[in-house]
Amino acid sequence: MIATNEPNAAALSRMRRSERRAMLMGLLFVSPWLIGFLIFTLYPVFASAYLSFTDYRVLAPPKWVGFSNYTDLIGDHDYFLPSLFDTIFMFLELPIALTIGLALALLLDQKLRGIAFYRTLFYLPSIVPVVSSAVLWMWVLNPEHGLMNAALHSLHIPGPAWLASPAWSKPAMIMMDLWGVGGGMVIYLAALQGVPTPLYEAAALDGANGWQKIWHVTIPQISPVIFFNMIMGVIGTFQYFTQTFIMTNGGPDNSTLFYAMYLYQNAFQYFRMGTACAMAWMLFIITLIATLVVFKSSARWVYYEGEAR
Amino acid sequence: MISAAAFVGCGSKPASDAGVVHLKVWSMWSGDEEKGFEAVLAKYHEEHPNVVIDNLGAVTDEKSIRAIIAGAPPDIFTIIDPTSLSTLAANNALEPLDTRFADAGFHDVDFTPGSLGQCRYKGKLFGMPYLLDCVTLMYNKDVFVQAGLDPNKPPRTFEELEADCRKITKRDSDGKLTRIGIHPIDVSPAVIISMFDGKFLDGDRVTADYPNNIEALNAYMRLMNDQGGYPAVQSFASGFGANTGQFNPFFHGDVGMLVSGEWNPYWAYKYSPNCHFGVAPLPYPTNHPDRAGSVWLADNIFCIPRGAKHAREAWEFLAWTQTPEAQQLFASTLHNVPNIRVELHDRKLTDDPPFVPKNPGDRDPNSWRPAYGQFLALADSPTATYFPSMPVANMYVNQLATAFDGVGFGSKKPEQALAAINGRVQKEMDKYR
Amino acid sequence: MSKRASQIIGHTVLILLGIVFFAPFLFMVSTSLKGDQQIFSSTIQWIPHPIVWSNYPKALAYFPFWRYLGNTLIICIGNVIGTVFSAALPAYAFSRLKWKGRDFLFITMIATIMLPSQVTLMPVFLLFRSLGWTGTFLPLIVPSFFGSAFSIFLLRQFFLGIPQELSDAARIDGCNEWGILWRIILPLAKPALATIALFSFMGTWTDFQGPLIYLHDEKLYTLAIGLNSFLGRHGGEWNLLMAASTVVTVPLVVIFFFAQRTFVQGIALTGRAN
Repeated sequence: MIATNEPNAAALSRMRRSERRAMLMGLLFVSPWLIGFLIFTLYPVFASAYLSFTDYRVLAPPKWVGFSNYTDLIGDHDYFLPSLFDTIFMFLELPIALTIGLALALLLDQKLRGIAFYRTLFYLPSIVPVVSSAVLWMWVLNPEHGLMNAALHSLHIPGPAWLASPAWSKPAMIMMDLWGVGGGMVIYLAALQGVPTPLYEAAALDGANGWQKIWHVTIPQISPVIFFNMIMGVIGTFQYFTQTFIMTNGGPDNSTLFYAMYLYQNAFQYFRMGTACAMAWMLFIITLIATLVVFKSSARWVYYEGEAR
Repeated sequence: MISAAAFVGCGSKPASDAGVVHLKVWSMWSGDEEKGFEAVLAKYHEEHPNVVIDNLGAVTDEKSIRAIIAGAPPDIFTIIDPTSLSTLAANNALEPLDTRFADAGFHDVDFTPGSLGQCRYKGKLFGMPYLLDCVTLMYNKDVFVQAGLDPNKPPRTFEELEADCRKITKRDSDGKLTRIGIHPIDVSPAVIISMFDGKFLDGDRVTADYPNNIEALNAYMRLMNDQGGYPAVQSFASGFGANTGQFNPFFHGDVGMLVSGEWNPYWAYKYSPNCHFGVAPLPYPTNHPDRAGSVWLADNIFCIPRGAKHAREAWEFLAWTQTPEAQQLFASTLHNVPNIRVELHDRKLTDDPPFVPKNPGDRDPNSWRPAYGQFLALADSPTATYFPSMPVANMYVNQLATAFDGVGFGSKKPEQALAAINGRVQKEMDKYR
Repeated sequence: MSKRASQIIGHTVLILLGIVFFAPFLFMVSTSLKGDQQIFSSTIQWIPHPIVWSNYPKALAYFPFWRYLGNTLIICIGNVIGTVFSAALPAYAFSRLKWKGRDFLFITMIATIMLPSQVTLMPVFLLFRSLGWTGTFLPLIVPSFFGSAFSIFLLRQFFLGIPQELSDAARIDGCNEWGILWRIILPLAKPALATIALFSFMGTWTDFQGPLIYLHDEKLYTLAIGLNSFLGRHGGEWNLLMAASTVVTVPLVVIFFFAQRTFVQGIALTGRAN
């Protein structure tokens, strides 16, 4: 539309009307998501905030208790705080998964014969359903008859009790997760293939060797992908549930009582919906802070092509 | 005496609505035991053709609670862990049964001692027992012989138990355990505490750190140390075979003793007929001689969820389960202890009549009954115990288990671990006043 | 280091890692074919003597695979339909329409991707409970008809890459926005649609917590819940468990091999969307 040079009332009201029409059109198209957002996101967020201040046993009406759910949780050294720390421990997995995933992607970014076979092989564990994988790894990590300890036994290393040991249960789960590192690997692989070759050539001209090329060209170029994976990794770690439900049920000695597991137990086992909602809100705040931290730090190391920073 | 009239009246009253009623039952049993339960359901259907019962087996308490919270419960369900009953009752999840119980003409005195107490919360009845477990000490005679112990002398005192465990425990050349004295007692940490005359509750006050309880915890840790230490034992136990099968660790000789129940004689008969074992009361500590002869009782509790669609038909089924016929049938298929007192002494259940094989290789189908009968006799003991009814019973027991775990793995001290339970459980319990 | 040497090292590392990654699969299948005696040894025997094929029919006798598979498919296909249909309209609005409030709502939508699911889990559960939908498939399918933020985002990025000239030409021809979306944009977006369909399918297939809290009737179980239930019944019978586990894994692997190209596309799209 060509803007008129003399905005008169009619022209103005026409613009506002067309703006309004555009907005209505936009809202109409967006309505499936918007309605869903109101019902399944906004309403629940406020509802769970309200419930977190009540003692709600599902089969009886909620009773207002103020902040006591929150204070009880924070003072609980035997269940809530361990569930928080157990989950935070799992953050260790993120840098390990990143390194291995990236390293594998670099290895597979070559035009070797049969490379497609390897890519499939490494990717396959990540599409195995979680339940299947959990049952399988329970057996692989069985201290008496499992693959892992048998392999260690053949190297004359005594294998630990893995899932039956409070010290080794979390490393065991990290190991199991790393089996699925192929999922991240293929994303890095796709990103690697998007790095423009002239950059590498320019670096070679400057005298850069293999490692330097990776550090100064590859990583900055794919940093947005790394950044995205890191955020999703932080959020995902807090939702870690299925594996512990199936394999260890929180034990031994609460060593695998992850946040999402204890939350589920409160909501669906102990008749403590109010406490579960309080846990959910605390998680919300923690995630907000963690995401903000990663976002702020991203300014330093995430490089967007064509952006002036 | 049982009022025969009451039973006759209950069993033959037809459902007044025309048409077939479908009852959904969720039960804890799987495998052969599930078939045993379904035999009972089939018999009920034979006598009440208008009631069809759909059974779902292998249901955990956790699943039942989840379904109740979701508002999608069955018509009847069993509780594996009797301590869950009070939690469910306290949260309004169960249909109260006192009126129905009285109307059916039942009397407490007709029931096996201890079987109804577990079904009550704050004095009100919320479930019905249908057979119960009597858990006591079992010992593998073959393992005893191998370890140089007298196969006819099971440990009577706790100290003897410890000594026997030390002798039975065996290791291989790498120092790994290959046999231990007693299977880690996973029935409930409460069993161990009750062996030491422990106290869980004093009126309305939680007493997790009662001195006898601490003594029990320490004694159990000592027992585990006698056979390699708690962590090593847990690791060894995680490699055990399934309980229903020839690799059952007790039948297979991986453990010398077991604290378990009356279903084992039949399982031995079925899976490991060459296993020679004995049954004895739980060992008592020499400084608690009044615990001699004690056993631990755990009901199979059947409950009706509040708001069940067919509560009346569900109750009629439960009332039928208390008839002598139903008790005998289930006792023969599930091999549990009858909860009707008179049946504890029913010779039909415990006799092994002289057997003449028709073909060579035929086995005496009743050879397991005498050993099973020993459990029935023990169940009638005045020192039989079970976990007290309280609103957060299963939270209490879970916390005890976690405390035992913590002490076993060395992350907690016994006194502190148990004392910490007091505050937590008390706070939850007080919410239910 | 010489090129040849580094190539050899590269190959060796790949082979070693390949063995490490493949070993668990092998162990799973190998155990599933072993007899009861052979499982309980402390040294590994890769090839069972004898091979007990009957473990599979035995496991399937206790594990109603076809019923669970059917249930899982119903829920997955429902989700795919819901996701695809409910992603197209919002993605169009966010990319090819200009309207007040668009960017604000878009940022809000992105923010919801980072919202932990637990915050909404319980009230949504209570909502479905009050509707009487617990115990049915409805809570697992209906929400997908209300737009998945991630799918909308992916599709929107793709739509952004379609030249404006196409839309402008259609507008001049008198096409309204709905027509443009339906006749021009969507046909061009087939790869992206295939991608979100595939992601939705895979995500729903492996969903565990959803079916756990909403499905209570064994006849409605999905493969995931069914396997967990099987574990509860047959713990310690590792050969049967591995057989059941293998059987639950196979469908997805088969789908992967048939839909490989779509997988690769999807990953490239995700990379580009960043």
